Amino acid sequence: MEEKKSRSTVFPLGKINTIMKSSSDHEHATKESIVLVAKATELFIQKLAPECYKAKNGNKLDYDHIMEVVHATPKYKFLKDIVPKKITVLEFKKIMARKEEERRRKEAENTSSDDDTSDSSGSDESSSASEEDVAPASPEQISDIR
Amino acid sequence: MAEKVEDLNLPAATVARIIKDCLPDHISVGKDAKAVISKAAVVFILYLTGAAAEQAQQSKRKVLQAQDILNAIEDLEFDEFTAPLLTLLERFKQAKSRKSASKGKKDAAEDEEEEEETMEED
Repeated sequence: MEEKKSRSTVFPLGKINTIMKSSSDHEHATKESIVLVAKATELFIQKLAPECYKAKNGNKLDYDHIMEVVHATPKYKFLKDIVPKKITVLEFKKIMARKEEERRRKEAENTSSDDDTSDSSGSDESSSASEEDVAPASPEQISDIR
Repeated sequence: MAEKVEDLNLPAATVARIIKDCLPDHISVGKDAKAVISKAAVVFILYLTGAAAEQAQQSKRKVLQAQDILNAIEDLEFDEFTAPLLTLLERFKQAKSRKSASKGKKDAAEDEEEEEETMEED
C-alpha cells in the first residue's frame, strides 16, 4: 500500500526523529543521521526475526522464540527488560508470597536485611503471567520503554 | 520529545511487512511476536541514539551526525550493518546533490536505491 511513495527508507523519518529525541540530550540530529537510524532499525528487524525463527523449527514465529534468543545472546542484552521471561501464575504467586513474607519479617524485625529476594523482584514484577490459566499479558503491558 | 507513549511506536504495518519479507513465505508470525519485535526496534533506536549521542559528546558536539551513528553501530557490535548503511549514506548524499542540480530525478533514484538495498540484505 505504501509502496507508491518514494523514499530511501521504510520508516517515516519524522517518527524516527521523535523516538530519537526522547532518547538523549542531543539538540538536533542531521537528516543523514536520521536516515541511517531508520535504515539501521530496518536492518535490526531483518536480523532479529530470522535469528529467532531459526532458533526453533516450526511454521510460526512466537514470542517465546524471541524471548529465548534475546536472553541467550549477549548482544541483545539491552532488550532483556522488554522481552521478559514468561512465568506461570503458580510461580508468580509463589514469588509474591515469598516477597510478602519477606516484607512482614522485615517489618517485624525492623531491620534492613536485603538478601536474595530483592534480586528477583526486578524481573519478576515485569514478567507476564502464565501460558495456561490466565490471559497472557500483551507486550504493551509488559514493557515500559521510558 | 515524545508527548504520549503512542508516539514511541513504529507503524505496525511497516514492521509487519519487514518481518514478513525477511522470513520464508510459509511462516506465520504471532501477534505477540510482532508487537515485541516492534518494541525491540524502538528500544534499539533509543539504544543506538544514546550511543551516538555519546560519540557526539566526545567530539564536543550537540548535533548528531551520520558518523556518530556509524560509530555507535560499531560500538554496539552491529558491525554487519555498517556496509549497507555506508551504501545508503553514499546514495543519499548523491541523491541530495543531484536534487539540487536537477530537481525531479530524485524520486526515481531513491526507488532504485531501496530495491537494491533490500537485495543486498538478503
